[in-house]
Amino acid sequence: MMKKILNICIALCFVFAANAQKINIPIVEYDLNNGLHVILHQDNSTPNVVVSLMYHVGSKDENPDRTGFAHLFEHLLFEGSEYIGRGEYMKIVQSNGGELNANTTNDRTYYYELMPSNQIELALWLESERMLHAKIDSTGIATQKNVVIEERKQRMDNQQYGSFQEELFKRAFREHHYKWPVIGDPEHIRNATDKDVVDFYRMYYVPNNAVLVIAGDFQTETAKKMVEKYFGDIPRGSQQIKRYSIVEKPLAGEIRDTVYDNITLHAVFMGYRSPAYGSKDYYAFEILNSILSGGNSSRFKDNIINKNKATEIFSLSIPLENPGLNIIFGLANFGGNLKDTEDAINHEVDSIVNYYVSDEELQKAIATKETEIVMDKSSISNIAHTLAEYHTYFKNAKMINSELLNYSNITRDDIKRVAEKYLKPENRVVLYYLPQSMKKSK
Amino acid sequence: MFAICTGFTNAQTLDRSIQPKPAPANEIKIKSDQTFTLGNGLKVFVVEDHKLPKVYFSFRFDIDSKTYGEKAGISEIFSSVAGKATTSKTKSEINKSFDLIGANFEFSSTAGFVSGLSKYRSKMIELFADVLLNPVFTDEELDLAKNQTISALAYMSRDPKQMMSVISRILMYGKNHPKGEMFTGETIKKITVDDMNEYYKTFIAPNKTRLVIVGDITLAEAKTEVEKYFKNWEKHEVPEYKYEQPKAPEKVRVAFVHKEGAVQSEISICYPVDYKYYNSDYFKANLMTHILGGGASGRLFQNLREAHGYTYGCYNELAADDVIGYYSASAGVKNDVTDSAVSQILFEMQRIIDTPISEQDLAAAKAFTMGSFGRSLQNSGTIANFAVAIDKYNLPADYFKNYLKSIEALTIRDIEEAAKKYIHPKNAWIIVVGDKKYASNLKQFASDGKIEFYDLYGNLTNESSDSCDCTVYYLAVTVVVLFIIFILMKRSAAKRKRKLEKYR
Repeated sequence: MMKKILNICIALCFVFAANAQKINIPIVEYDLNNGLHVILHQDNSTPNVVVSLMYHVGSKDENPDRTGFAHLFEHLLFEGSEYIGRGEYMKIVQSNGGELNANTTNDRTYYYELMPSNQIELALWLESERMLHAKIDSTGIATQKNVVIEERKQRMDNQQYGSFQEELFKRAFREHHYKWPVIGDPEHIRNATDKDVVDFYRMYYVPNNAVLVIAGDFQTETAKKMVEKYFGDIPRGSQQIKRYSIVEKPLAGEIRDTVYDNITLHAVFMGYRSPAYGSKDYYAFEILNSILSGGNSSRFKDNIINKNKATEIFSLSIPLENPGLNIIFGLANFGGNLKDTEDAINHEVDSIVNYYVSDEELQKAIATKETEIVMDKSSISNIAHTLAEYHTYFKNAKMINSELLNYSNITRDDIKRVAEKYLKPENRVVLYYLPQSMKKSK
Repeated sequence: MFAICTGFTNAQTLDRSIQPKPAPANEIKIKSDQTFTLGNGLKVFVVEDHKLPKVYFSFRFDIDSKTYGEKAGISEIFSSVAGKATTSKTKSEINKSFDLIGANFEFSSTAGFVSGLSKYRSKMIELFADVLLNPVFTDEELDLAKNQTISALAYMSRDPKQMMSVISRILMYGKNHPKGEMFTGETIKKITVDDMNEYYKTFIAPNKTRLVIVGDITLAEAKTEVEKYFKNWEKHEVPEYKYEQPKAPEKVRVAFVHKEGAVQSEISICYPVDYKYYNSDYFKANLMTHILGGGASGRLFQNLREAHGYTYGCYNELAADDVIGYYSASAGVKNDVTDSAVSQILFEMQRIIDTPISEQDLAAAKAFTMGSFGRSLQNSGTIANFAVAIDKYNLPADYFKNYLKSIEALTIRDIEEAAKKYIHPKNAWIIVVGDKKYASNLKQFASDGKIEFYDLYGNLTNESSDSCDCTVYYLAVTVVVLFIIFILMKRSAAKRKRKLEKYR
């Protein structure tokens, strides 16, 4: 026992020493009268700026018979506005030296422009038009429905194992809206009406449901004035924002199934119900994942892949606002038996549930996280995105400066505890992916 | 059409109909690099950047690509087995040492790389020097690499983009050119530990290596570390290789690879082209391809996606290369519009040759290119890459300092010249990977009215034969391990580190 305590002390000392190099991302944040939250991170090292808006709306906010709507909507909001003609949005950004993009998840929708810093005002105007004045004609709706359906084919249907998220989540969740994929059901997408578009916009695309982040080369006081100029007069949303608060009951029993896909290598996907992003358990689980599959000396690499027992195995949590899934993925060798791959994974999972991880493993995992945290601050786009998510989910953008603390206070006991709590067979969905040909021969 | 109004149009001072004008541009400052060379010929390029406590060391080996015939795959297998053991350390020991300091490293047939936190700088380079200078290749690692490669090939044989990459290289370059040479399960089997040792001894040499060091380190510190570990690395002659240049087809040829159950057709209109990095056309050719299909405002994207809804994205690429470049316009499109999509791509290729672009197109493309240049400088590695390019391609010392001026000086006439020189819709391969049900409509595009059906080995087949269940053939491109799926998962999870798809 004494030895164990001593070991923990040594590990902690190491961690405290590691803390010496601190991240400091200075931010200024405030609310406009209409409820829009604003975060400014001034960094004048190169003449670039990122302007981004995160709306707190994702596929989990969708009506069950209108799935895919949040994402379709993201496409539609590039169509134009009162003062921006159809298709002009992207052209204006690029012809002024910028780049833009957007993405949608189960929880939020994110838009951003990366601009030369002298074009900051242009980006603010564009985003304020998107929030205030979106204008979408039926040609635009028809075109984007097609584009989204092709996107689904390219990313999911024509991609080996591309359906795994959909297949896992629909079995792992019975009530919660995580049960459908962000891209949605093509039938629902085809059926979306003009009225749906208007209703969705009025409900969610309002300043009090968004955070504006500006990061890069600007002067804070000037930026504040510009923000007020373009966003100050946008009215607060008049409706109560609709949220589904569904608490999913425990899975209470393993679910096993087989999916036949156009593949050659057999694969197993295990989805364990897992803690929500930002919780203490989430970070402990991240460390656990790093020990299982983080570096080249992790357990999956060292004990399975490097011994030629599988082509690839990894474990990762998807950072979702509500409790979600941790996915362990195993790809058998060509011609290998998938049961062997699953057995090898189960063996490692059992071992991490039943025995404490070593101090050295904990130390490696924390070192890996520390590197990731630093590397992640390499661009103003990453920083803006992180700030936006921390505010959207936790109302605490300052978390960006204490990320290492989430991990450095994790103990071996914490890891044992989350392993026991979540990595139970009755808490998981196990999907075998097998080639189509095996279905025929059945 | 309908408008969404928020019902609030207060009298306001702001006239929202006016697009804001840019403020005066802040100067783009290009940091300087510092260079030194060791006695053994190792050239070192250092860029100091103390903003974050991180540093990387990147070794680039200057090696001519070559064919390996019945042992095709040597350089790919080398990439899999290199960095696994040294004369003093086992694989587990090496991996554990790097993991303990959270550092990442790789050693391949063309490059070496180690990165991590600057406080671990000395440890990092000490560990990596051992990996680079004292490698041991074993039968055990070789077998593991062969098995992993065979599994990776099996994965790729069902991936439409990978299939396209394989078949297009075979057709463009031919199987006897280093860029078109395939390796197979058979050729990989013949590779031995001796071949690995031979590759290392022949090609990895300080006099053919450029080392780039970027991050939280001073020049003096860099010199100390490099001299400590690499001063005694012995130089030696490295052979050079030349091959006959592949040529574009003399007419339009249509090639079809059947993929059972494909829900989209993957299209590429492509041909090999003599296009070297930073040649005299470099700026105008880049600007021209940007206008034609460089991004969301490109003509290909605007036409095929925004006007027609055929695809999620359509882009083109004029790829420079030290040996032979290529042009490709590509998209994954709805099955039943395969022919219409080909027709629209060819239309846009012809249009940029025949019709001069507008002043607005030119100005927009210049602004985008200059903006991208400014953004690339956020990463100090860009400065190091400039220094390497100046050295490798004998460019004037102020080449990148004048980058913006060079772009600014381009004219409509320059773009027209570049289009005529590099865009060849009448001397191209039209390659489609998709369901053969949709093949017959493509006959109209072939100069001889015929569709050539190929399997993934690049062999002609007849239309009725099924696609190969090819699992062990692949050509000489770096073996990607199955991180593709990993990246997809990260992306859909909106994890910060994810690599985003090009647009939306």
